[in-house]
Amino acid sequence: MKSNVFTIMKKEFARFFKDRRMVFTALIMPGLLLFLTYTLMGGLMTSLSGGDQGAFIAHVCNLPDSLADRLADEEGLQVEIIEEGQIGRLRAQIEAGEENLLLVFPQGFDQQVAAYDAQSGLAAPRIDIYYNSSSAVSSMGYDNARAFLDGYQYDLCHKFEVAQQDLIPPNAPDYTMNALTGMLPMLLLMFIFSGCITLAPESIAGEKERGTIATLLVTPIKSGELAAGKILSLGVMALLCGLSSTLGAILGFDNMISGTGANFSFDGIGATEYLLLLLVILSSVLLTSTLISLISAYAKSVKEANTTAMPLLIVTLVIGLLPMIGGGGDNFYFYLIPIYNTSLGMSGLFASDYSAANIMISVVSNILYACAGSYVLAKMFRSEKIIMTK
Amino acid sequence: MEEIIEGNMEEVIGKYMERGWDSLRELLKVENLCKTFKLSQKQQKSQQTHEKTIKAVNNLSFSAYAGEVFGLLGPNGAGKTTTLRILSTLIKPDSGSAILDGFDVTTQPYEVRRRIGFLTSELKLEEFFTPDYLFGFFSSLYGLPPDRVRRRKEELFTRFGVSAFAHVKVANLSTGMKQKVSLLISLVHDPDVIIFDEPTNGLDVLTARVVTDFLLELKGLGKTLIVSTHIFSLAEKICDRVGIIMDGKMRACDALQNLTANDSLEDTFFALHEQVSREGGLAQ
Repeated sequence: MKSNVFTIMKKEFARFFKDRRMVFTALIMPGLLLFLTYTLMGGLMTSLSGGDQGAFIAHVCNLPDSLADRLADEEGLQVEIIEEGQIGRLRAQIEAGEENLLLVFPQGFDQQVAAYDAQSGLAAPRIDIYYNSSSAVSSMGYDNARAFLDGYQYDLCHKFEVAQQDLIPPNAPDYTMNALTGMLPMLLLMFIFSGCITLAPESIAGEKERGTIATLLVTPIKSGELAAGKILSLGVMALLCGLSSTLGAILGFDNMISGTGANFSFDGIGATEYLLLLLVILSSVLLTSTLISLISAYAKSVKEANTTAMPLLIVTLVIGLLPMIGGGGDNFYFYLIPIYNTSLGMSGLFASDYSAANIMISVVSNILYACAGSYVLAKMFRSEKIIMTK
Repeated sequence: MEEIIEGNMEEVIGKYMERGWDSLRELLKVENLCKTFKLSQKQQKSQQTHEKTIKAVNNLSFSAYAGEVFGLLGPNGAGKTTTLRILSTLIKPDSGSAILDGFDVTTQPYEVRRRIGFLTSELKLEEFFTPDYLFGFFSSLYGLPPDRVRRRKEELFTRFGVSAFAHVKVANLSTGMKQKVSLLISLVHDPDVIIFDEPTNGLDVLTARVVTDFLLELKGLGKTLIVSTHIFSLAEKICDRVGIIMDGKMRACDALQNLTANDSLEDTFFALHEQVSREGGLAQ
């Protein structure tokens, strides 16, 4: 029994790993694409925030003495003083996207402000800010300049002061991290599922379509051995594909959120949580590969298997997001629902808010469902209607 | 029909006198085998029938003795392939029995599979792999020891001229070479009973000759061959006894020399076909 299962697994691994195209499309490409996508998104976010582009140059005309020091202290801002005669040229350059920002103060701004009486009904001294809203960098510069001048305006009035009192507890994950850990179960489920969908239809429906599975079934191999060999090998390969995607996503996330100043780390998760997470993922991989194998065995062709599995992928994604909405984390029965139990378990582990007993229930129930599925798959391999139908 | 089988026994006894005691051993006994398939609407249309089922095999009975070549001859749709699929345990009969070397094909399929080699154009090899890999893979499924696999591989690869292509993917082989590889893969475990469904179908004349010679060689080695074919010359060349199937029923079963005593096998076949059609026995 055992040796035939290994023989089938070895053949499936040989089929996968010796096919360079398949290794690239199923194993390397998803992880690489995720890494590149998130890294590019990070680059875009950094570029939008003007982060890594060196000092932002603001051209200033008639800079008042009262603001010279404050502007010089602004991080990442380089002030270039211009004459009134250069205003027209700079406006044209901003319009053309060659320059980003121009601040024009009236001559004698400090004196005008000092002499200004808000009750007089006369117009207040006016600062013109020139920018180009079609440019992300220029818009960002405008927002920053506006915030800076608004602050200065408040300071001049001395009406109130603002003191920030942030009550966030130590070691609490920030908002970005919360959102990411909430999405992780859905992403992990999606990666595992995608790996299975890439491989199982080819391995089972493809063999049916090509008539090679019948060749196997006239040898003394038992249908249970064939089912176990297929499911286990698919599980291992789907796990590798999922691992590649997860690595790509985590490394890409890190690049993406570094632009926002947040840190991507699982400092709150210890060895026990990692072990439980591994068990949840392994049991989930087993269940998922069994489900997709069943769909593939029922389908008449690879195309039909892919089409049938797609709605299941969408349902899985929705279920993966459910824990973000909340609820059910403490309910024992929810840990018996396939896929949702994985999602709940992973969500609880990432948030360090879980019950080990519930996690184990989800692991054991997933393994039992996979065993039941393997039994059904073995029955399907014995069915002439399933195997001989093309 | 009874008379034919009686006459057949005399032939068997003659063979025993010629070859020895083992040739009297009834290696395969098929009794009242029936198999019905449901017809889809599409199939009903293409076969121009309103029947929702079709009896592919209808009370079929025959025996094959150790060391003989038994040929199943019949037109397309006669039930030859269905019969061979039942014998190879791929599908189960609705009723009747088939006992191969003492094992029931329905209740003891794994024992039967250990004793047979089955080759049909419908069973394919994974084209991604090489003949060398596939030989090793199928040998593992039969639980053969490595030294026996090595010897057998060398023997069969040399016999069929596959050695030069041992490490070429099946996808890149010619149709004839693919058929040769399929044939030798079905023989990895050196089975006593070999079931071939249309063994030379689709082959070029040279490869067909190699396969025919090999079938004769297997016969010389005392193997029992069950061969389905619609090629009369092949049946005349290799078969000891022939069963003619039409509409799922055995219409004649006798030693080749008895069937061809007055006419050629082809003429005998068409005379029988005409007779059955006249009696209204053949489906349109």
